[in-house]
Amino acid sequence: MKSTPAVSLKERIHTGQLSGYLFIAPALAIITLLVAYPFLKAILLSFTDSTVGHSGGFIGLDNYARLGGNETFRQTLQNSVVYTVFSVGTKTVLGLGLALLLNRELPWKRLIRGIILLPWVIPSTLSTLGWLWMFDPIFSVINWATVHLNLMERGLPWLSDPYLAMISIIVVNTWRGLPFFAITLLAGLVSIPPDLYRAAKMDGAGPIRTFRYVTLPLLKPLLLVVILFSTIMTISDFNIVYILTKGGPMNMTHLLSTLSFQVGLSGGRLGQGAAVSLFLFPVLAVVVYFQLKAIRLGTTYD
Amino acid sequence: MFRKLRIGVEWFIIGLAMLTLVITGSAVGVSAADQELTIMVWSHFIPDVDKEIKKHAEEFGKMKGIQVRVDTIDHHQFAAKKAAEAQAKSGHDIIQNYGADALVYQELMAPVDDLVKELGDQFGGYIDLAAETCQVGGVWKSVPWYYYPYPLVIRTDLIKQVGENPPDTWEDVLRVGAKLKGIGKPVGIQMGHSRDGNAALLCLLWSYGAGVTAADGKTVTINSPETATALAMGKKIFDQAMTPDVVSWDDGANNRAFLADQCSMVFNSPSIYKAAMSKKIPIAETGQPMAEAIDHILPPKGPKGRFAFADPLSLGIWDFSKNKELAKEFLKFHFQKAQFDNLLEVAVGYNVPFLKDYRQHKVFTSDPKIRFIGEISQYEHTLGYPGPVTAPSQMVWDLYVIGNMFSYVATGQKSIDESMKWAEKEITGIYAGQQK
Repeated sequence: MKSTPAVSLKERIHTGQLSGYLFIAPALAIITLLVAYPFLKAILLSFTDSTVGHSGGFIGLDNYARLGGNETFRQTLQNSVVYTVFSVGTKTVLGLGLALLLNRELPWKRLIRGIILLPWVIPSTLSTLGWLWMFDPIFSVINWATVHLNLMERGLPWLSDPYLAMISIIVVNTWRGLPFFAITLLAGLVSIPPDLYRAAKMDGAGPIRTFRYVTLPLLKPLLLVVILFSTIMTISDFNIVYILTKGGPMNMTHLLSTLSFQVGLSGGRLGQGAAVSLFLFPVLAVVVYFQLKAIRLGTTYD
Repeated sequence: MFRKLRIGVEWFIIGLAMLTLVITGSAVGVSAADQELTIMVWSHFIPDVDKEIKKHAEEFGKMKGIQVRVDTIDHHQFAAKKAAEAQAKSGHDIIQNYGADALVYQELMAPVDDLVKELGDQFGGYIDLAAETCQVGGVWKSVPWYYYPYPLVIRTDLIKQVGENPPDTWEDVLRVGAKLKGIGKPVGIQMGHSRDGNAALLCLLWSYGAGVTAADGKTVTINSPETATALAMGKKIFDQAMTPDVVSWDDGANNRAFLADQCSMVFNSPSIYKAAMSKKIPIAETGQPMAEAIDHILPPKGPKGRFAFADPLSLGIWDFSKNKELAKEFLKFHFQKAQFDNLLEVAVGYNVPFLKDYRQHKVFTSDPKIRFIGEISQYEHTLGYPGPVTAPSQMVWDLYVIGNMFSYVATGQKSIDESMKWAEKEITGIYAGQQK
């Protein structure tokens, strides 16, 4: 069998085979500088006792060991899990429901789909500031409306009760992330061949069985991708918590990102702050691995 | 021909990239060549103060024929921005320091002994608090600027309405506050992630003989019978005189609540009074200008005396600044009477200077509602008291450990013992993890 002759660098340049590398080079440079470098630097910092203005020395896993014994950190970890599970779960269920609704024939379908996207499109800082006013203990429009409509005697302490504060940030995250789920899943729904639905109908399947045996299996790979992305984005959320509660009351809404900011930047303990932010990285890496594996298995009707 | 085009495309891209780099580099080089002095401070709670500082910068710039830029940043983001400059060893020339910053950033702060001595000689010397926060190992690392006082801000009309006198002790705050809550105008002391709350609750602790550490600044003493008593008083005030929302109030919430006529007694510097005056806010029920009904009184005393918190600010020069001498010239200019008198005037008593001569400014004596300045200084202490200002004391403040300790007890999330143990563990961890 004749082997392919080696192509020299000069020939590759001459024939334009390096064009692809040149085109992706700027993106690679940005990713390296703005993602890879800070990530590796954070890992290195987490093994030191660096503080602002002081480079510190190597202390191994000391920062991570301290975290395990710290009640605030354990509370933060719990908050992060609760926040992520409930936010992603709610977005999944509501997002799928909304996608199914948007997939039907509606008047002004395109306009409605565009409006649905607004929470996702508006800069999160601005929209969260709006929610801050809606939850404000004195000026809350929600409380004003419920009291004036005689639904309640007095307004709810949206941001001062620890459980309501968690619910509030979950609501805001869900409101913001729902369009991402809805529009992405809608794209998946639209790509399901209508023949399958016709065949299911001819076999006597009702809406629930059709959803369970046709829609859901075919949507599964896309659903897993969306859930994966949303999990990563939700667990690393910062804006919503920082603007609404700054981790309070009593650290009951702190997430890893906000605690990391408070310890590392406000408190000046860079090494500890880095350890907080990276704590879940191994866990997330495992979750991502298994999820991607599940996505690759996919579903086909061969 | 097509092959030649493909070669041309690649070399075109490479050439374009290099041209971009050259142009960008030239632009940076050109802009660096124009001398510019840069200053970063946080946005003052009285906007006129920022405007005044920028005016000084403009005047100095015209005098010297240079650009002077003042960047004001929200205080929540200030620490992060400052940390970024410290890590990058690049940024502004003059940087605001607060609390223990001169200590935390001591290796990156240029010594300013000559300037501090000159200003001290010119303006009657400094109060003791200046050296506590700006001197490190006998070297001045930051120029003492001013501090925020924390009097008790009260609505005199409402206190009269409930048949009481302005409170003098914490017991008075409880009794008067309960009556005020009864008429829908409760007390508003933050118990959570707030600087104002930190200041108020430290005063409460100190007045009951409690403290974060002992006088050595190292032995953690937060878990004590004195702290337990202070926590019990805090719980009573929370239950009887305040609304539950105070655990989520930030630094602006007490201002907003007070100006919206929703609360009647807060710990705050005179920004509420200034806002009420400048915006001519009326009291809804009577139409009377709210500013007339506001007064500032000394913080309440406890069994161990009266204590007030002073929140100190100073101006440092980064050691990596290329304009250190120019920065010192600006600071000297800024502290001259023509400039500093105006700064104190627009601050309406919010900025209390460290320089003794400036403490006689008419703003502190002409308005009876700011008269507290003359009396409060004898009770004032800052971070770390009864010990010295230290980097861990700053971190306890930044992590709102005291605020959380009080709010756990106030809301019933933890008992007094549990809350003290939690705070002790947090603070011990902070002090143990601090390197020199």
